[in-house]
Amino acid sequence: MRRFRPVYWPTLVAILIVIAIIAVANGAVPLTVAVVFNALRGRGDPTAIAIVRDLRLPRVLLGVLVGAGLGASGAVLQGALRNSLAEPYLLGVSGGAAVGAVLAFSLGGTTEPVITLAAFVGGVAAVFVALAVSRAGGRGARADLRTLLIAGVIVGAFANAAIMVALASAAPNTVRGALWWMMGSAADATWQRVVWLAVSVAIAGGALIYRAREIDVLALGEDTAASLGVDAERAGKRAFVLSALLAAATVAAAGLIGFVGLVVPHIARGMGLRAHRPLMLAAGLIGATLVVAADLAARTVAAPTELPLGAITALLGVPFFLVQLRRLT
Amino acid sequence: MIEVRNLVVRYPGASANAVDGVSFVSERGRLTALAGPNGSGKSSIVRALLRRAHIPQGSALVDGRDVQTLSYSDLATSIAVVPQREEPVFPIRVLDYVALGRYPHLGLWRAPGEEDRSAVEVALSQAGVSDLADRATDTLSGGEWQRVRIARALAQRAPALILDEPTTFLDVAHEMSIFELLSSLSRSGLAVLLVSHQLNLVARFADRIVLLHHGRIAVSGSPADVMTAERLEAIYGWPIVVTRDPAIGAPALVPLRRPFQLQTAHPTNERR
Repeated sequence: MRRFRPVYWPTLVAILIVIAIIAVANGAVPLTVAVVFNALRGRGDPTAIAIVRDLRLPRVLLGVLVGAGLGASGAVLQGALRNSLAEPYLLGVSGGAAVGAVLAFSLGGTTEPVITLAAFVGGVAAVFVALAVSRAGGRGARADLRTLLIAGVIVGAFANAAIMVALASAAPNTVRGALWWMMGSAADATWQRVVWLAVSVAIAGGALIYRAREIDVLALGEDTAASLGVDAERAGKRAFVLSALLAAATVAAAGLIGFVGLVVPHIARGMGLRAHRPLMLAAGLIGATLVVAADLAARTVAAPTELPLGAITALLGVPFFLVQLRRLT
Repeated sequence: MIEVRNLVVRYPGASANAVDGVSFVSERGRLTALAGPNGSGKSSIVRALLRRAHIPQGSALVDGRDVQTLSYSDLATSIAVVPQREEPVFPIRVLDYVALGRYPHLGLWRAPGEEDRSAVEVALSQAGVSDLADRATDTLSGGEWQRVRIARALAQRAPALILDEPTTFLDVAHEMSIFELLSSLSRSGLAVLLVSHQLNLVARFADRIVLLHHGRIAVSGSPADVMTAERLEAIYGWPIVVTRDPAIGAPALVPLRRPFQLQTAHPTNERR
């Protein structure tokens, strides 16, 4: 097992900052780093200031928050559910959020806050439906976390089916809007959205980081967790709900961005991290870097066409993961 | 000290009680064994002590306090448990794993201090796994892993230790060394409650055996009291001969082969 070195922290932060600066500087109108820094301070060409402050900076920050939220959420879920294939979207969050968004689209809600809110409500609703389903499946007993995982998958599958039915008869515009959203995109980033997501990530992520040691114990199994003084059922549900909220907030802000929540925690573990407090932080930093880099690629590689961000995260992340997998085994 | 009084455990939807009015005491300085056929309620008693099973009647007490009224963290400083199964999904360094035994003392935020570090060190050495501290859990053999798990429980520094089938899948030498370890831990003052199928080993090491059958105590007492052929035959539903362990004279059980005849002569291949 690789030993995590403290020097990895400044390295992870530095990589994120460099990628973020490159992402702010590049796009349809390339800017130099000097112009970017001046624009950030409100100096120089007003067009450059507008591009940096109103377009690219919120977009990059949105990417940071989405990536951090998904990475941390995945790290918690894999530990708490003791499943290396667990990821935020598996729990019905994505399906529920998509139902919410599509519903908003088809009811004519085209303004951003409406769709964001509808997606968030849909994602959260799916989590609570999954909780209810898991309780029903438990014959009135305490449902264990595996039941919860299965319930999440079932709710997600149902939601996806509902979307297909809804889209089959929807107007082409609605279909296009919904599809774009389902492929994930940071293109509609606004400061309002950034602030809203930052608050959500801070609350749900902060609560999870606060309780991270409980997840270390939970990862040993429910009986062992109980013997170490953790109410396994409550702690597991709390981790489930908080990480699902975290994921729902990111989905509402930028649509479905696959792969990050699944693989980024494994990359962080590959660096030698096991305890969930540092693991969540590292997964957050790596996830943020990956999404910002992917978004940069999405808008520059085939410009002026924008590629779906959700696909790019996978295209960028898979090779990186494979290299690491080889080194690990 | 662990005490269960008229304990009843019932699982939702089950037609019968898994544990049906069991009472016994596991005292400090003694190795108490909980034995009995599969499904006789051994693990359910452990689950009840961990507050992971519903107790409609009776009580499970740790140092005189009812587990139902204890907080989870108080419970964890009173009893340490090595559950039947446990496998970390993500391999972890042995030292970090054993250090998780300090969670009941550290809680969510307190940084480990000198006392915690020394508890982990002593636990590793008591369990004889100090040299494994830097290994990852997925590189350990079955015997090493069981010892590491015992070290994790010892790091809790609880006065009572409960183990559920700690020697399953282990070879003779590893099995013996775990029993020797448990015996020395009990002599050092811990209340050790051991759930085990290994009647022969239990008979040699335990101070007291509680033999369960269908959720009730069939018999309990010293190994010599409990290990009689008639009783064991009735409980296990299989012909059994009880002889003496040649070294220390403890009762030793020999289940018979079919056809169920006591064979005094040398076994031959002609049977069938």
